[in-house]
Amino acid sequence: MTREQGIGTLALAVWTALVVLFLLLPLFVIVAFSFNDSDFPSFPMRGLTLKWYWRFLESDELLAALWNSTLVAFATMVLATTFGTLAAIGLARSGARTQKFMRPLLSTPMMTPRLVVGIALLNMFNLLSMQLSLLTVIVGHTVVAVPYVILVVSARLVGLDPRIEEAAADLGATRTRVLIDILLPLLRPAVLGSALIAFTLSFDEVVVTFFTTGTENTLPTTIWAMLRYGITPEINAVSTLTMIATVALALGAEVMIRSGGVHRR
Amino acid sequence: MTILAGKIEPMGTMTAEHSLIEIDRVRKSFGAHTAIDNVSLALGEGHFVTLLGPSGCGKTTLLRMIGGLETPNSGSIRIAGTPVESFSPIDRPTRMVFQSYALFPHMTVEKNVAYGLQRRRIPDAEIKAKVAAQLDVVGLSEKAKSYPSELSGGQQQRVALARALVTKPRVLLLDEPLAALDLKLRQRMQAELKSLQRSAAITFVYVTHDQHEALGLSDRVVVMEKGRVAQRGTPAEIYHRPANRYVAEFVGDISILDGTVRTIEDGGARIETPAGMFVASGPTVRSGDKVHAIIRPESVRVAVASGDGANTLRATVESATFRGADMLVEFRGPADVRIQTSISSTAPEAAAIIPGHTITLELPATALWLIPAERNSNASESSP
Repeated sequence: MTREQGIGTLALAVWTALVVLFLLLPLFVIVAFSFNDSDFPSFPMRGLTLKWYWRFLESDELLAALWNSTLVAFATMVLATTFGTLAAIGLARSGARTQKFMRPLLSTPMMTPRLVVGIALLNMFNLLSMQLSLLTVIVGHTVVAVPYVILVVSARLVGLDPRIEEAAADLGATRTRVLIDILLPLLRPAVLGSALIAFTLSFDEVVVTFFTTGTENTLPTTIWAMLRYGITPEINAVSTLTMIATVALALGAEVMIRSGGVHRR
Repeated sequence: MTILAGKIEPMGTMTAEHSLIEIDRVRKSFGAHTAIDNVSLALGEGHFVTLLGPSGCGKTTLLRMIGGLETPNSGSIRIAGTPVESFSPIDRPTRMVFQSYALFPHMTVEKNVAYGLQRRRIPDAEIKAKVAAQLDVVGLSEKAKSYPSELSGGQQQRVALARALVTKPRVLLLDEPLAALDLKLRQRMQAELKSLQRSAAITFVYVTHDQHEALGLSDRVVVMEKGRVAQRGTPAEIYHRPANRYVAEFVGDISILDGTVRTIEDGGARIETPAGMFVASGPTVRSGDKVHAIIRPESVRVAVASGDGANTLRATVESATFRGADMLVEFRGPADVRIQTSISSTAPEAAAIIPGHTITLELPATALWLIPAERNSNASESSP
């Protein structure tokens, strides 16, 4: 290795380390402070403790928020995955012109700033005289999540031979049977993967929730409210837990979507 | 040829005359494109029928309409006398085999084959027995628990056949089923298909663009062009007695002499061409008709002793291409007439084939076949 190459390699390593640090350091700080035995986030750490986690578990407000978030995320996941999967199948079966028109239209909520989506939903609910509640939050989150499901399931559908469905119909399967016996098993990795994406999207969501919720709060909006009193170690603990949960779900989704080119057992 | 034709019809003439599938003035278009243009066709029971034509001629659309995967815009399709246009595939006695096999990738071979039976509410024990028997027929008993992705192309093809045949259809529809296989395997599968068709004694409707496959496998060939039927007949009829130039060129090489019918005689029609007078056979022609006299390369006789017999002409060797078993030789005759012949590379005449040499060719009257001249034939006549 020449001198120039050695310097180049070293420079690249340093640069890479800086980028990684830039991306991950804030997260690391949150995790570290969540174990810090001090009321204020400051270095050096005074000692390790789990009390902030205990405090979270003892807080009725945070536990209620966690329950709300889980409920909303689960409902969003079921609704968005159902609608999105069916929409993707319908799109794949429709003509080229319909698809060209419908695909961008259906992905609009994904492209539009969440702020606009939130305000639009609030307007809509007012027009319909709907009481804001967790139900309206679920509707809002579903609107945001459906385009992602369509995108992921459509990508999988493109790789499916349409003759497989025809073969099933030729052998006597009704449309419903084709869906249950053929399409859903073949789409399973994409459907499960996009379900996890929908869950994570909803669990993290702040802006749309802010506009569409009534008196109940989800975990992110509760944290947001608590920040008015500064960043407490308690918030760091909750954030750490949220991070672990969402990263695990996102990784799960990734694995699902990539798996299953070939089906065995 | 006659011996072969005798072997081909195991069902006897009674069933051969009976039409199982009757297609009556069927039209089908996709947007502005007309895929099937007023086709009427009767296909006999127990036959191996091939729909032959280039891509886009409508053969696959016609097949899919017989199977119920497409609906005609107008016209009727009857199978065993029953109009089936409004029937879904399960209510038709037809089953389809796709070019891509379309096996269910998430099911084992066994489950793939059982699928059609399960849709028919047959008891499990019976399904099991039938699946096992069918897998035995196609020689895949050991692969029952395998997934399609673990099989070779030929094995997947057999699973597709088994999956369709196990439901005991009266008609098996095959859409270029061998197109994805390599040459050796394709030839073996052709033989298997043929024997499968004979032993199952069911009607095969087979779509292909490969004329060798069509001529080699079929009892009847239907040549299609731009959504219409150009000709139907036995492979020998299609090859030796083509109805028009399109069919003649699609199923093999031809040389063409343009001419005018002068007299009709016992042995055939006497025609006048720029290269001289020839006697040719053909369908009903009248004197004065403009015709193409066509001949297949293997029917041309090379280096006939005298230069002046009937139906002969003197021609110069333009090029000779060695093809292994035979040579393809291009001749130029009087008035720039071009004649293509193929001669065995071991034949004594082969020695006389030297570019630039002029020799005598005989075009036997029985092999010189007349087809109607197309209107602007002179414009498109320049050698292929």
